[in-house]
Formats: sequence, C-alpha cells, structure tokens
Amino acid sequence: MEKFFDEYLNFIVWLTPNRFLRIFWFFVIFELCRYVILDFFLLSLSRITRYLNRHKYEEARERFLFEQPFVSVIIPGKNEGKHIFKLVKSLQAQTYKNFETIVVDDGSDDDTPIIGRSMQRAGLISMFLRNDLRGGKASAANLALRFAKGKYIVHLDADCSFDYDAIEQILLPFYMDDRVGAVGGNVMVRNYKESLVTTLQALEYYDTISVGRVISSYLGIYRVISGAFGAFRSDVMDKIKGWDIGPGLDGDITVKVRKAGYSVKFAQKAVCLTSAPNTFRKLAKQRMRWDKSLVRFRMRKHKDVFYPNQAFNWSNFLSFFENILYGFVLNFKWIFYLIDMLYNHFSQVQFIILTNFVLYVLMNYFKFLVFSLFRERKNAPISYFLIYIPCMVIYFGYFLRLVRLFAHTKELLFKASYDDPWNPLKTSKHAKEMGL
Amino acid sequence: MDSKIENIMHQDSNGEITYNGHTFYILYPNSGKSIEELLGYTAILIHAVHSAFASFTIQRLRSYKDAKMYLKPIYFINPSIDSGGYINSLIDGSIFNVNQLNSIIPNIEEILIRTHQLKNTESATYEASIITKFLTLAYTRGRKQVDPIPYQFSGINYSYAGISCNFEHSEEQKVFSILDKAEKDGLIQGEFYDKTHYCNKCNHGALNYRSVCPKCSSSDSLTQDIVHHFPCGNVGPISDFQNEFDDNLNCPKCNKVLRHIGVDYDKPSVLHICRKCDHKFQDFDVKAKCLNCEFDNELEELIEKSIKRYTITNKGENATVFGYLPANREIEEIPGTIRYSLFSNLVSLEIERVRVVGSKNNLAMIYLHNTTELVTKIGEDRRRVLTKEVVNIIKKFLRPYDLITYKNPSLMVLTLYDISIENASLLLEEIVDLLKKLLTDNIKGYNVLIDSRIQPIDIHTTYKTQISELTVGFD
Repeated sequence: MEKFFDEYLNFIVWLTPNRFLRIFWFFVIFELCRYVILDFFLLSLSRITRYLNRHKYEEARERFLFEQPFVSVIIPGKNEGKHIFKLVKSLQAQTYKNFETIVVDDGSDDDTPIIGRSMQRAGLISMFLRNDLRGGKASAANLALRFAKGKYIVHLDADCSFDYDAIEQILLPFYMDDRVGAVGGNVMVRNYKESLVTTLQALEYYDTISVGRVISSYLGIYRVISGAFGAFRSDVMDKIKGWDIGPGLDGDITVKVRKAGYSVKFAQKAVCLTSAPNTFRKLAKQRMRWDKSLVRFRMRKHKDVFYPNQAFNWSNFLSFFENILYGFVLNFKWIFYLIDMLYNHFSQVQFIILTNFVLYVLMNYFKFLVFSLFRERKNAPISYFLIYIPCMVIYFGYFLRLVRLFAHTKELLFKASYDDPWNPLKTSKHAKEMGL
Repeated sequence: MDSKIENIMHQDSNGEITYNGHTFYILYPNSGKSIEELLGYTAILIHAVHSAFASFTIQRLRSYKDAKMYLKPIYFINPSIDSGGYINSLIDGSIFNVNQLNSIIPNIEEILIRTHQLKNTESATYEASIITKFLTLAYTRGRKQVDPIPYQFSGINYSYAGISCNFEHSEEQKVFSILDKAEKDGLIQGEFYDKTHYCNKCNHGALNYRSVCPKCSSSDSLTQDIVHHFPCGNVGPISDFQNEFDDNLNCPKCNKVLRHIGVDYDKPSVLHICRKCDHKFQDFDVKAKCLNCEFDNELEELIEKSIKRYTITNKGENATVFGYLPANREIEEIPGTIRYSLFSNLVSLEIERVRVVGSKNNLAMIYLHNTTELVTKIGEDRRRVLTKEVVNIIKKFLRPYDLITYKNPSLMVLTLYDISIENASLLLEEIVDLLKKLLTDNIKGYNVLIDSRIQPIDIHTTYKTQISELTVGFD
C-alpha cells in the first residue's frame, strides 16, 4: 500500500499541465468545461435575466390572476388508484382553484376503478374515465384530452404531489410569452431517504432537472417536459393532435410542440415531488426505457429536424444536437477514452482511475454547493447529501453510462423500445411498422 | 239445474239463497247492502265479473272489525279473470254459478266448525286485534303456514292474508311491526322468504330502478363507443371517427381508415352523454324512483326489509282458540285501568253490596269509532300515550273508587258510583266533550266520532245482562 501511494505521488508530480490535459482531456473538455464552467456562466446569466425581467413576471402574474383561465388537470395511468386520493388532496390545497380533474384508468387490474368511481361520486374529481382494454399511456392521455375543457392542459403522474402554488407557477410562463406552447415543472424526489438509489436520484434530479433545465430553457433548447408535471396550451395540443405512442412520449410531445413553432419553458418554481425507483434494478429498467427513446424519437422519428429542407430550425437543431452529442455520441466517446488510456497509459491506469475519481468527486462537491445557490426550493437539507456525493461518480460515471450504452445499442440494433411491455404490443406493432 | 238441488234451493230476487240449511247472499256491485246487513248470512258470494269490485269487496269484508264478518266463508261467483294470489288467499274458493253450491258446502261447514271452536276473538289493543284476525283466519281455514304473496297493488310488494287488507297501501309498513310483535310473543315463527326495498321518504315499495346521469339524475342519455386507433394513439367517441359520406371510420388525427377491429383499432369502453345537461360519464348512477311519492332514492338510502313466511306455533294456536292474552297485559299497563275480567268481578260484587246497603250506582261506556284510522294516523306507540292521557283525564272526573276498563281497544267501560243518573249523564257528556276536544286538537285530520251510554246499575239484573245491554251494537 505504501508503495502504491509513493508511486501515485510520483504520478501526481509527473503530471505537468500538458500531461494533465492529455490524460484527463475527457474530464476537462466534456465535464469541467461543459457541466461546470458553462453551466455556471449560463445559470448566472439566466438569473440576471430573470432579475431584469422581474416586472414582466409580476405583470404576467397579474394578467393570469385576472383572467383565471379554466385548466384541465389530466392524470392518465394504470393501477394508480392507491395514489389518487393523496394526489387529489395535494391539488385541493393549490392556490389556484379554477381547474377540473380528469383521471383516466388505462385498463387497471387492481382497485383503481372502484377508487376512481367513488372519488368521482364524492365530487373529489371531475371525471373518471376507464378503458377496460389497456391502450397505453398515450391513449389514456388522449382520452382525457378529448374531454378536457380547459384553456390549458396540465398533465400529471398519479404518484406525484405538488407545492401549494405549483399549478399557478407552471401556468405563468404562458402569460410571459405568447409563443410558449408548453411548460415543464420542476420534479424532485420525494422518497430521497428511502434507499441509496433514491438519494442518488435526488442528487441527479437536482443537477439535471433543477439546474440543467433552467439552462436549457434559458437557451431555448429545453427538450423533455416531464410526464410527471407538464402544462400545455389546449389549442397547441389540438394542433399537434395529442400524444403519440410511447415509450418516451414526454420527449416526443415536447418535440412536437417545438416543431409546431412554439417555445417550451421550464418553470423552476413549479415544484412537483415524485417517487423515484427504489432499487437499482427498477432504476435500470426505467432508464433503459428513457434512453431507448432518445434513439427512437430523436434519431428516427424526428430526424427531419436535421434536414434544412424539412422541419429545421436552429433551436430545435441545437436541442437535438446537444442531446444526441451528450446523451449518445459522448457515451461512446467514453469508451474511446478508456481504450486510449489502456493503450497509451496502461501502466498508469490505476492512478488515472483514482485521479479521475478524485476530480469527479471534487467537481460534484463544487457543483452541488455552488449550484445550490441557484436553487430556490429544496426538498431536503444540503447536509444530508454531502456524504453521498462521492457515490455520484459511480452512479453517473459508470452505472448510468452503462445503462445508457446498453439501451442505445439495443435500440439501434434491435429497435427494442417497440417490444417494451410498458406499451401494449397492439399499438407498438403499428408504431414499428410506421416508423413512429 | 240439477233436480236435487232445485228441490232444496231457494233463491229470491234480492240475491239471497237458502241451500242445505245455510243462507247465502250474492253480493252484486249495486246491491246496496251494508256490511252489518250481511252479518246474518252463513256465507257471502261475491259476484266477481268485475274483478276490481270483487277485489275491493273481499278486502273490505276481511278488514271488517267484527270476527263474524272477517271469518265468514266468502266465495267468488262467476269470476271473469283470476284475481291473483293475494286476492285468492282472501277468498275461500270460486264457483261459476249457484249450481255448484254443493261443492263448497263441506268447506263452509269445516270453516264454521273451526270458527265455533274459537273461545275469544276479542282483543284489547289494535295490534292484538290485527294479530287475532291473522291467526283466526289462518286457523279457521286450516292453514298452519302463511306465506307472503307478491301483490302489485301492495305498498310493501308482498301481502299477508288477514293482515294487509287492514291497511291503506301507504300504511302497510305497519304489517311488519305487527308481525314482529306476534313473532316476539312466540305466536308465529318467521322464516326468510325474500328481501325487498322501500322508499326512504314514504316507505312505499313500488320503485322504478333507473340508470341516471350522475350529475343531474336524468335518465335521458346517449351511449357511444370509445374508439382507440392503435397506430396514432388517438382515442375518442365513435362520432369523432364517423363521416357524413359513408359508413367508414376515419381517424381524425392521422386520416387513416379504421379497417379491422382488434387489429388496428378497438373499443376499450363506452361513454354516456346526458341529453339534459350534456354531462359525459362512463358509469351511470342507479336510483330508485318511488312511484308513490316520486322521490328519487339513492340505492344505499332505500329501506331494506326481510320478508318472511310465518308458521303458527303451538302457542299461537292456543292464543287463536282461547284469545290473545298479551293484549290484556297491555291494558294492565295503562295506569288507572284494570283488566276487564277483574272489572266484571268487582262490579258483580258491588251489585251484591248495593243490594244490601243500597246506593245510586251507574255503569257507562265510551266507544271511540275509527280506531284503525287513529292508529294509522299516529301509530301504536302514540296511541298508547294518548290512551294514558285519556284515562288520566277521565280519572279526574271520577271518585277514587270508580273503576275503568277497556273491553276492546275502542270500548271503554267505567263505573260512576254514588251519583244520580242525571248527574252521571251530565258528567259523562262533559267527559266525552273533553275527549273530543283532546283528540281533535292532537290529531290533525282525524274525524273524531265518540258514542257514549250510561245506565243505572240494576240490583235485580246480573252484571252480564247489564253490560250486554249497555254495549249492544258496540261490542
């Protein structure tokens, strides 16, 4: 062990700036520059812009409160009956009251129909619709959309709960800019204390949602409105004719809104708490689904975004480019980096791995602490997460990357998303045939 | 006509028939006879060509207060249609013409023999009188078991021979409390037969179960299939997919023709659209509209009752023959009154005493008509309370040693000792006026009709004779 540390010390001393850059180019270019320096710069800019536009925000709020638009809250899902009562209580506590609640049961085989019907009878929800035959989440959402009467549609997942002003906050961006067609809410992990995997997801959500989406929204390249909490203009939904077949319909509908010529915003103050998967197995399954959809929707269904003679526009192009670059290309680049190190610095690999780990840990601490200054709403104390931050290197750097790699490969080679039982085969079969 | 029958049958133009030592009366719709005038006949033949008249008449006769009438053998003659189970349970049979009288004679004689076996058909309370009627009617017809009979005109959907006919349909719920009491007293034993539901507002059993809009309760709605188009995930009512030109279904989202159910589309559910309020829903509410009061009942609010078939117990049979004793026990419970048997003994002794020492004693009776209506209006519990009040009021006019008894729920007998007949008459008048006022003030819409009589106690005549003279026509 002593020998290892002596050698490691020698390795550190040996690292001149040039050698550091040569060996840790991946970290410096793709992590430090992109996720720390650029994010910090953009976050600061977005905050300054927000400060300068504060009067616009107040005016928008006044207009919104004066108009009191009727809103349809739609909750499609299967076997979600056990969550509905808690969700409805959370909605009843909202500052904004002028909304209807439409729950769609997509062929549940538990007590959801009984719960839904009794809640409708008790006047706790406006409409309960049930399809005896499961059609998939898109069909359930479309059924709710068909009977929604609101000017805005708020799409929720049943296992979520909301801050008291979440509905109001998610609708305000519509009143700040007429071009806004859809708004995404700020999703946080409610069960962050349940297990290590939920804690790590809570940290991930802080980074990718609470911070990452502020930046992408600021740049106009915000690309996924979470299905857990998103708001849409009814007229825009009529135009794009609702949701298409999933999985990955959240990202798909966001692209459809963007392609229809509307901008998509992130509402940081519209906070929604959701239950994250509590085991690595469940998480891997969920992420496989999400990651496959990147290939399916961005690289296949909506590839016209890249063709200047088709649905090209710069913000859509950049949104896709950034997503594909970081979510897909660099995922493979990470393998090249590994090969590079094994081939060129094989004798130092153990020190490189250790140094990479230390660098990532330091970066994560820095990001977490500094970016916390930009987060207005925290659902857990910062101190709780500090001891878990080193684990994020494994979680982000290895676990999620491996899952992503596996998912992308499967989707690229086998179009595996069409076989995902998350969506009924009867619809996936047609989507596959039509290349949707 | 059979020559044998012709020889012994005599039929006059008024509908009276004498046959084989029995007298019959054929009751036509326009016969104009009062029930009291029918008491003397052995049996009644209701001319049943008009079924409504026949049904009404048999129920009226069986609900009459006097056992001489309600136990009387009654037959339909020349019935045009079968009147149904319940009405048939009230009659003793049917014949098509008088030539068939011979066939019912054994049945009549059997009923008469059984009726003569009854030692006491009097009761001291209204409830007891109905129970007695129920038991005696079954006994004299040789029935050990009384079944509930579904009856479309019944307020509780089922009718019981001997009981239900005593109530207006809207008041038939009282049948249950009376049967419960008889069961509690061990006279009958109930066995589950069916379950039925009644209006929460008026207790009536005629209910129209309807599927209604959960919002406005209208039953006028349009039902549409929900269609799910697989390729594009579009879902909506089938009208969204229909067009004006042909029968094809076209998807409004992707413009494709829906070709094959189960392959490229399905119908996962249905949707109902209320024609009154345009509310869209998938699950009807089911409500029960009362055909009596039109109240729309929620199903969970309906009154649920078990309908039982009853078997008369040995105790019940004894009570049938020897009289229903619990009724007397109830009278004892009214403070200030004594049992009729004790009253008879004490007055008999008083007659003996007056014969020796001499005194001006009187015997009076107060008869309240429409007791059935009274109970119907205020219920048995309130009637008991009212009876106690009545007794208390009367006691205030009497001397402490005067006696009061109830011979039956309508007939009160009392003594007025040591007072001249003139003064006693005035006192009785005053009591009756006060009673009329009490009842009129307390029971809205009740037609108070009270008869009273008074006579001095005659030391040369037995108590039995004197009481018969006093209560003649009211007992």
